[in-house]
Amino acid sequence: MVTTTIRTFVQRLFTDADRRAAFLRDPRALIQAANASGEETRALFRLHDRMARPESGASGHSDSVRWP
Amino acid sequence: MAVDPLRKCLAVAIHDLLANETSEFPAAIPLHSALVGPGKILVDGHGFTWGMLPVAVARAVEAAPSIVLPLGISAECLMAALDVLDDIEDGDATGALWRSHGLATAANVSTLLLFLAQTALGQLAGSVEDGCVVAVHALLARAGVVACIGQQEDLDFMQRDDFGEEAYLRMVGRKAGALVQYICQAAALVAGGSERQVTALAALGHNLGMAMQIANDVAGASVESERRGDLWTGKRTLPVLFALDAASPEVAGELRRVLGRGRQGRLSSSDVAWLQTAVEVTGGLEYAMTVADCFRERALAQLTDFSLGAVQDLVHLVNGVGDAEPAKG
Repeated sequence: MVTTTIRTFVQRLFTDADRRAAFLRDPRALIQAANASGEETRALFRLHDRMARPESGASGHSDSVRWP
Repeated sequence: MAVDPLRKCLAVAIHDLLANETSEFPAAIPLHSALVGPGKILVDGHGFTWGMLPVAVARAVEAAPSIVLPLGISAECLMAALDVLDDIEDGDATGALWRSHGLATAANVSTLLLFLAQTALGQLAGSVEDGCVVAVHALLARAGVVACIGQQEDLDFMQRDDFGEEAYLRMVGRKAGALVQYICQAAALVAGGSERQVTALAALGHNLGMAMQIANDVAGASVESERRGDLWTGKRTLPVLFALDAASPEVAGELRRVLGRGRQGRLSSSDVAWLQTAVEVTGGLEYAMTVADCFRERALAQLTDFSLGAVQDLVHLVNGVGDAEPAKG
């Protein structure tokens, strides 16, 4: 049940600024490379949508993180 | 958007239940308070309420939703009862019933609501087969037992450092997944769903409950003093567990120390702000949100064999997880 794909994906996003910037520019390549399941893929695209919002802050250092 | 007329019917039915069964209950005000609030059907609005979940399930199996109204009433009372108990057990909600009316009254109101949930199920008699009514009662009892197991695990986790994500998810499955699974499964049974539909909707309920609880834990790790969120008590929910694992050894060590002080009730506002930032910048919040989304997708995946038009309410409900007040805890 533990989603190691998601865990690894998010860990890398938050430890690699270049990777995060690439994800925000075009999530498809990174998500495809992750070999995620259908549900994980859709969840990762939602992750991109949240992180790409102007108020979220691409650096992750946002003042508030809101649930969509 | 127009309010679903059945929502108004449910609200009226709950008022009728209270009038018929609790007219001599001395603590009417706290009883009413427990049934009012975000996510409760007695509040005017369009958002999610537990009472409408059985209605959405009945529509999914293309049955007349009126047949599950007793389940809707029961679900509202059940979840209101558990919310009151959860606030007592967590001891941290500033707007909790126990804070305004005392522990004894809050516990008694919760007990009454649990019995009202049973009373409402009795209204199924006459409109569905006796065997179905018995089955629903058995499902409720089993779900309640499982939920209590999960709740105790959650309480025990407050004093432990030796658990990880798998144990957390197992606990959430028991504490929240089981209850929402019961509501959906019971509604599908009462509405006359096929065996395959009942199984699918039970699985939807379980995954929906998971998504809701994890979303609630995200909110608890990212909202500050107004809600006295989980960070104030050093609670290790999924965002925090991820942060502990993802942070550098120095930050993880500091996280553990600060969380430990939280268990003792010794955190300041700046401590909580630091925790919030640490969880956020390590990706804890986004990770947990994404996991919740996975469970949301698993819930939606149960609807592939249903008529598209019939499941719109359920789809809307699942997609709205996190927008409205989810399961507490």
